[in-house]
Amino acid sequence: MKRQQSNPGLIEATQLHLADIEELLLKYGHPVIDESEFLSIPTPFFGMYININCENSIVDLSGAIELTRNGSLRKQLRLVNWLNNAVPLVRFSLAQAADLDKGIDLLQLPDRSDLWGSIALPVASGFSKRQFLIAFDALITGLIHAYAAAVGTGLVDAPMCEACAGQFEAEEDSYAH
Amino acid sequence: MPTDDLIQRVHCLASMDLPSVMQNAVIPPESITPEDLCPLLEQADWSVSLDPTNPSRINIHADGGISLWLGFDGPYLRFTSCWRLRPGVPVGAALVLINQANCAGFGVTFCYYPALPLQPNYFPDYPLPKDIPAQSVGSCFVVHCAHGVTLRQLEGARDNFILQNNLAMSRVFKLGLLGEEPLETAG
Repeated sequence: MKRQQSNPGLIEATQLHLADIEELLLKYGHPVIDESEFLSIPTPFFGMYININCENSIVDLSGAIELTRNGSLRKQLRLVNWLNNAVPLVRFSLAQAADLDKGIDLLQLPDRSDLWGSIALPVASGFSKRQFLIAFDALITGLIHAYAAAVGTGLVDAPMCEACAGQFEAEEDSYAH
Repeated sequence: MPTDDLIQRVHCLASMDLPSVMQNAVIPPESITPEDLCPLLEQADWSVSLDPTNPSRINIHADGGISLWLGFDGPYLRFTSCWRLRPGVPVGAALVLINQANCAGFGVTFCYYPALPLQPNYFPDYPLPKDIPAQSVGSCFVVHCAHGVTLRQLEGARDNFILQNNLAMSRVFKLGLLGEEPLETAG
């Protein structure tokens, strides 16, 4: 009771469900797709999507950016390292990258790599809606910066948002006629 | 007149030993400063000291191969570490190791110094650290403390942070890439 009086916005970990997070996001205007075991949030950028998982007293916010198939692995890893140094709060990693233990040559490129950014919120002691929204905004901000950096360094194939792509296609059609 | 519920809570607290009370007491946000937190952590048997070169962080004394700090940054407390790779490790190999550590999860972010931007000054709002020795690995783990924090939370965060660093260092050691020279004290 004392805790509730001093922190009225705290949500106990035992009361945390994905449905509550979905409701919170919808309230603040974020579209949400319920994938039953996790929530998926579309973004206006091609190749960028955000997932939210809730398990073992950790709310895991993660987002991925699809990188180009023809990019240099070394360049991708340098970008990831730079982002981990520069962007606070978000942890970046490259999925499907080479594994030194398995002796894979660094020059052998994977078919496609995803650039992942994530924030883990430990909630065993409870957490607040404000805390969650701060983390959510920090993740989106970090991913947008990562997306901009990937575009600027030529590591993303389709650097256009859906609205711009539609306009581009409309202009292409008008030229065709 | 106090309610029965309140009386029961007081009796419960009185029966707990002092360390448990200390562990679970919420440190309010206004008390989460280096000057206030340092003596509290010392009382809880942490080996800490104020950093004379940086007023926004506390040194957490560790073994010779790794340096640990606790940084104060708005609504966050940030555990930070620094340890060395063996001289001459190729940058590409170091980046692969760092990436593997980041894929492992558990909230600890690893990075390699120096961080070479693909385009200079790409994000001027995000300055890169300059006082980290070259060919070092750094890591950080953030604790959200906008609503206060407990000693139990801090100790859990510290222990997980040290564990993840030890796992990463152990992996690097097995590959023969861990630096042997002790890291000088941060700052």
